[in-house]
Amino acid sequence: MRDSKSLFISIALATLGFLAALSDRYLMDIFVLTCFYGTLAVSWNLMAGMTGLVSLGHALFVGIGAYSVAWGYSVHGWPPYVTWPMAVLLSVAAAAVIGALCFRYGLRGYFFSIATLAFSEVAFYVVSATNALGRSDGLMLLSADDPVLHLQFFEKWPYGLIILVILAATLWLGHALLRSRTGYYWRALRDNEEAAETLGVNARALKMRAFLISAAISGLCGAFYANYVAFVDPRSVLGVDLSIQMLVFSIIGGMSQLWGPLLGAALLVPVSDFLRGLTAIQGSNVIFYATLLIVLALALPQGIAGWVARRGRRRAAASLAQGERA
Amino acid sequence: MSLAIFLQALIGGLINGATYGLIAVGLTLVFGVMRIINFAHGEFLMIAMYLGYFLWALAGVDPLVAILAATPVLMLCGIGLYGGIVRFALKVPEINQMAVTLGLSLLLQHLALMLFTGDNQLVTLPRSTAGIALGPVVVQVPQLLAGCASLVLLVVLYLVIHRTDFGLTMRAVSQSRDGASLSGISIGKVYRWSMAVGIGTLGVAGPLMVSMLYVNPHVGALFTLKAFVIVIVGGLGSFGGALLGAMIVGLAESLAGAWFSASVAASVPFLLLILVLLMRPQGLLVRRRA
Repeated sequence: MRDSKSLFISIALATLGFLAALSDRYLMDIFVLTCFYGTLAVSWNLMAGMTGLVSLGHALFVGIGAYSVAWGYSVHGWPPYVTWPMAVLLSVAAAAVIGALCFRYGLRGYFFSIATLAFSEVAFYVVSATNALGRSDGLMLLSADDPVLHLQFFEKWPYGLIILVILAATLWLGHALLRSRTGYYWRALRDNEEAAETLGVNARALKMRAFLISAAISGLCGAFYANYVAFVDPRSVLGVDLSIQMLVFSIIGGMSQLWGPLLGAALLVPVSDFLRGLTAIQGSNVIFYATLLIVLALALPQGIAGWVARRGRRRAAASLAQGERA
Repeated sequence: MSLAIFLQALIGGLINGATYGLIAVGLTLVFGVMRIINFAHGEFLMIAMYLGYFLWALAGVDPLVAILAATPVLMLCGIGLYGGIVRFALKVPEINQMAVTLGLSLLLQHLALMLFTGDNQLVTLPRSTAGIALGPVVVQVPQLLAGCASLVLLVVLYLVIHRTDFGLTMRAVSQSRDGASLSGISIGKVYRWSMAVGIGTLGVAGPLMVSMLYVNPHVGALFTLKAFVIVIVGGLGSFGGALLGAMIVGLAESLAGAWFSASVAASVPFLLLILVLLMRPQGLLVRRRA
């Protein structure tokens, strides 16, 4: 039951954030970006924190999602109810191919990370050279005659609502998965792959499941991003920086809990935007969160969420012990 | 494609490969001994390149002489990196190690951006544009110097690792940490000096490269990725593998550049990496452990 409590608290807090941001366009922009990065980081962490597969190429799926929408719309005029499912399907297909290759050959640890990084870099350079995808200049989504059908809103709050729904659905899905047989198998694989396999866990199929689910959510986020920003280029949706950001948010927030990466995004996205506005020094926000990353990764290996969860457990144990004594 | 262009690409690729080798050997050395992948490796190369640039721009020092100053500075950086960060990182899980060195890479990039701005800088010497004609092939003098210096240093490094007591302790630690420790080898000392040597090699590579390639705060990230490709193609932790991998990557890049657009050529090393990871994940020159 404790687990369900944290799910409700995170969704309730996100909803409160949305309501608070309704008053102001700038706040709403921060809210949308926080939820976007938060959802991405949560989906990344389903693989990394829960299954032990650290992907350094998740930008690939965001890029596939974003380019599905941008290409479908700007070339064919397809509406989101065609391009969004296409974004998810293509991301899942890409993950299936990459996963089949990586897991077939048993890549683990650093090797899996670097293989995913290589796949996303290949996509980066190929897209940068493809005329139909706008090369490195990117694709612009021009205004449509029927803006609402194409998710083009003047106000920012409809985007906030959409990403809030995506975030809540991701959290709920993650929560349900982690309490299911699949979730327990994932964590068994993360903790000791040989032992889990000896006990009959089908490592390849389960890793693949984590990879596909994570890629589907990232692809959906990418589709949302293309509609929200109305501009897609290789640097913003296929770059290594985006993949690394998911890791940064997850490490700082804490990878042991479903909501940890969301906490990381909720702390870092607003603070880093605030720092950017505060000082004229270029990159001061990155200097801040890179330092935080180094210090926290060394001092709090479980992240903020792990620290909170451990304190919670300790308090529960203490009160239990007190109850027994009484 | 004419034979002359092919030969030009071939020679260019081999010379680039030698420089890449110098960069990758440091990465593989550190991994071999400590089992840690340093994602900030390229940023130290960037520091060495800036050192070379500023010594030339402010004091008129020739990059070849600047090596003598940059190498000790980079070795100190390596010792500082071990004492300040890596020593603690060895105690946390693998993903946290990755996060720490990634964080360091971001930090150094943006500190450089703050201090040196994002402008491209280059050392231009009279010999920068000079070329030596070898039959139909013209070799640029800075490239040739960098290639030769890299080869000399690689030989020196090989001798250090295989012919000195320090190299012996390094190899011992890399084969079995506990065994080496039981034989009275001070693990901390070996780690510290491996880091000093691994980063110190960049002090040679940096000044050599800044006379043929622009330096900016983000130049390191590209080389970190290339160095990964090289050491994985050759086999992580293998000295000869890094050299072979560097030559393969240098050649592949330069030949692809002669045939395809620059963007496609840039993706070739990564395609190569995927291929090697799938067919022979332990690398070309490393035997699979039982």
